[in-house]
Amino acid sequence: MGRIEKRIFFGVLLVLLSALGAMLFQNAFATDAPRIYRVSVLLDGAGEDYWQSFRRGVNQAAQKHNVDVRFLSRYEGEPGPAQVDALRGEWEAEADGVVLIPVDGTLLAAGLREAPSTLAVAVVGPELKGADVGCYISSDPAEMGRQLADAIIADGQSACTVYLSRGAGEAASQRYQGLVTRLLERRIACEQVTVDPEEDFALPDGRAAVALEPEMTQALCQRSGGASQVYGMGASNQLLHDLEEGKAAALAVQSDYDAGYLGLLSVIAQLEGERQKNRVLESYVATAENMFTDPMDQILFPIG
Amino acid sequence: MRELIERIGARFSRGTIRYAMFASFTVSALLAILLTGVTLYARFSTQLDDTIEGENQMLVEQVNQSLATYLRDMIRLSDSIYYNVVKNTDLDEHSVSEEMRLLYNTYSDYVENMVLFTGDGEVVATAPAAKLRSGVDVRGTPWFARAMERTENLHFGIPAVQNLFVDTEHNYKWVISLSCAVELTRGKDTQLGVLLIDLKYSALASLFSSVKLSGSGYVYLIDGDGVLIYHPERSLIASGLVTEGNQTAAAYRDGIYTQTWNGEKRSIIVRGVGYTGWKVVGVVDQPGFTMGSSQDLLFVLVIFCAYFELLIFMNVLLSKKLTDPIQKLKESVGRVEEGGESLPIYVGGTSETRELGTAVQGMVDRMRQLTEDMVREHEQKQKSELNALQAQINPHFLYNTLDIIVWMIENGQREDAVRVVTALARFFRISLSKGRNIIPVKDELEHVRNYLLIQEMRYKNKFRYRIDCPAEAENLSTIKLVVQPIVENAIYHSMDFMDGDGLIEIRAGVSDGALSITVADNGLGMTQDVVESLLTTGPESNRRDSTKKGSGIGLKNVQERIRLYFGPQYGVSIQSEPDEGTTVTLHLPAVPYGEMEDT
Repeated sequence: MGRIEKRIFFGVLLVLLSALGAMLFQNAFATDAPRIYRVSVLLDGAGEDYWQSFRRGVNQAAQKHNVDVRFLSRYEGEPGPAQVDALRGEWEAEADGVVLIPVDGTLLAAGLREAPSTLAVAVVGPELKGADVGCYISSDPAEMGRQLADAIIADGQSACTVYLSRGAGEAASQRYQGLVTRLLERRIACEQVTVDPEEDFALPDGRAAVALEPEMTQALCQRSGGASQVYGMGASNQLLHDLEEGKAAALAVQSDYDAGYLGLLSVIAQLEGERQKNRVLESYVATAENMFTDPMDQILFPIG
Repeated sequence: MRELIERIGARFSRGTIRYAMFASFTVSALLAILLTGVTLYARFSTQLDDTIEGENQMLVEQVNQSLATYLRDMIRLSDSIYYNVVKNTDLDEHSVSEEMRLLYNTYSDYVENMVLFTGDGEVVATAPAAKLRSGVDVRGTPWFARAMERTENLHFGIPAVQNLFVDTEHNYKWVISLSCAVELTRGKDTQLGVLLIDLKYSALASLFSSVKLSGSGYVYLIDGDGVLIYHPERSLIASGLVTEGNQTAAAYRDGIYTQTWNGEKRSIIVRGVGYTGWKVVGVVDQPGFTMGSSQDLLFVLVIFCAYFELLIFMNVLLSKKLTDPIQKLKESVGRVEEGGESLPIYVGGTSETRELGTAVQGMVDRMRQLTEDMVREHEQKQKSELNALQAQINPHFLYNTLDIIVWMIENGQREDAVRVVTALARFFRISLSKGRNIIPVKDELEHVRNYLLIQEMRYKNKFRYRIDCPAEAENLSTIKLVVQPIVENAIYHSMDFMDGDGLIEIRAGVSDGALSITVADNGLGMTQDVVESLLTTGPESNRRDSTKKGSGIGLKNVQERIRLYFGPQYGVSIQSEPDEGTTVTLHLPAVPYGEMEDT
């Protein structure tokens, strides 16, 4: 065998042995079974009714990407600290990632600071200050407030009372800012009342009653005489029924289905090593007239 | 690129034939492997594509069949309600609710509600029992309007959230409405009514959701206008997170189409659903056998390298087998070129190389023969020249001898004159020797004896001489006239200066298969430098010394003649000491006279 022939022979032999080695290595250490991620979804403890569409969205993404999902919707004791305990329990149980709907943003941010860096985290809601969160998914609260104001204006309302609960969070405040700014632009009188949903209060006559939290919207609908004077937030079946029945005039909604779907996708993407941008969800105004028409019917009553 | 190709070409053409063959075989075999691989890949890929496509088509066809069966069942249910329950039943006297409930129970897995309306939109019967929501006027709904407009047809609607009935649980269910006009009988009057069957969307969705086409393929359902009826991501499409080419698919007839969607090619399989105008659409990522995974790539690499190694090995063997005879032939020609004329040329290998070797061998043989002939001719010429030169009689010798004879006759020394004349005659007779060049030692010595006899007379007994030859040497072969020049040198260069006490001794002897003839004198002798210069060969020394007396030309001629006849190992040697004398020895082989060719 000549010099050149030897060089080629041993060069190719080297490649052959390397490839064989790599194949053996793959056969020895690789597994054919697809990786199944374990992701937990920690809801905010509100009624199941509020998160049906959200769960459907999560399940759609889980089915598509082969993820084992665990929902935690109810907590024992105070929901805020209990949610943090539940979060700790999940990472101790070696969950790959979590989707969080915060109960108490401050407590949850503190809890997340102790979380292992490998835990993929997506938060559906406003930003948690000081927490390392891979991705936030939320609608624009100010925009939701503005859209609700537009609905009030379109209905020809001349004055309104805005009901805010005492524990109203950052998102509710931003919605309020958006709402009031737009109403004042149109010279519509607006007053604010701070009250808890469980308290005994009556709706004002001749004025639109506006709530910026789902629970408060529900409370206003319960006190409504069916005069379509309630404007609020949320897309639970009860609220949609109230909208259909005329107790609510308009509801500012986001696609909870999309929020659930995108939340889980974000966690999967983080686990795959991709950097994620925060996602802002589209917001809509649902009325009795459009709630059964395309595409609002699919946003309010998602199939999945 | 062109330069690179030229460089490779130049290297290729300058390389050895073995390298060229190896490279040619390897490249051509590699090309063959690659072409075969690509062809097989294309063939199997196409076959696999066809198989996958066939399986996908079959799956879509099965879904289509299942859907058609489902729809036929629903149409049969509708017909059954109309023809077996509603038609010819006087609604004033009989209620149809019970029969409808029984049918509902049978089909409850597929049906959400069954409602019979009058043409005015009033409820006649429902199954299961349900209360129409207040304020609902069904006459404005699309399903009612279509049923009243085209009374002969059944009408399938698009998925919608059912909101006709009071639901205390606040459940919102997705249904697909199946409506048709029916004839209601009240007493003797008949009027048009509408039968509505709300089909459970989930029942229809279950026909599709479990179907999975190859890869990430899926199946969806559209109506004739391209409106989505079922899609695995229908809600995501509604909110714009996902897009689908349903409007494009609506324009397709039954068949398979290729579509580029979001930058990726995919196959669209379209099958129309009988009666409804709906279309089942299968979406499959462009199928094909691809090298997507690293395992596939490694496998291909290993196979390729293994083939390549085998190829190299086979090519080395083949090129070696073919080029080794050429190499051996080249080496043997090289050895001949370097002087090994007697070495044989390699003859072997294939018929072409054998023929080539034989031809080269013939050529070398002819060249060798020619060279030998030339050498022989040259030697012959040289011998002739030297023999002729040697045979020339010094005219002075002849003149002096004749002068002596005249002088002897004038002085009355008749007997001495006779002796000299006799010696001269013998001298010439042996000089001629009938033209032979090889003569016996005894003749050569006899020739010298005659010569010395004459010279003794001439030099008036200034020297004596003695010739001694044993019997064993007498009949050995020697070259003619090799001793006489040596003796002549001894006389002229030594005895001429002696005062009667000069002695020349000539002695022949045989030892170890060699003949030696020694001419010794007790004359002046020579220095070693002179001795060395006498036998130095070369044109320069010849030219320099040949013109003067004592140039040694006779000695050199003797030396050359001996070597020409007997080889370089024989010749002349000289021992001399100044004032003591000189001994010149001729070395010859001991060859019996007659056994040697005289040339």
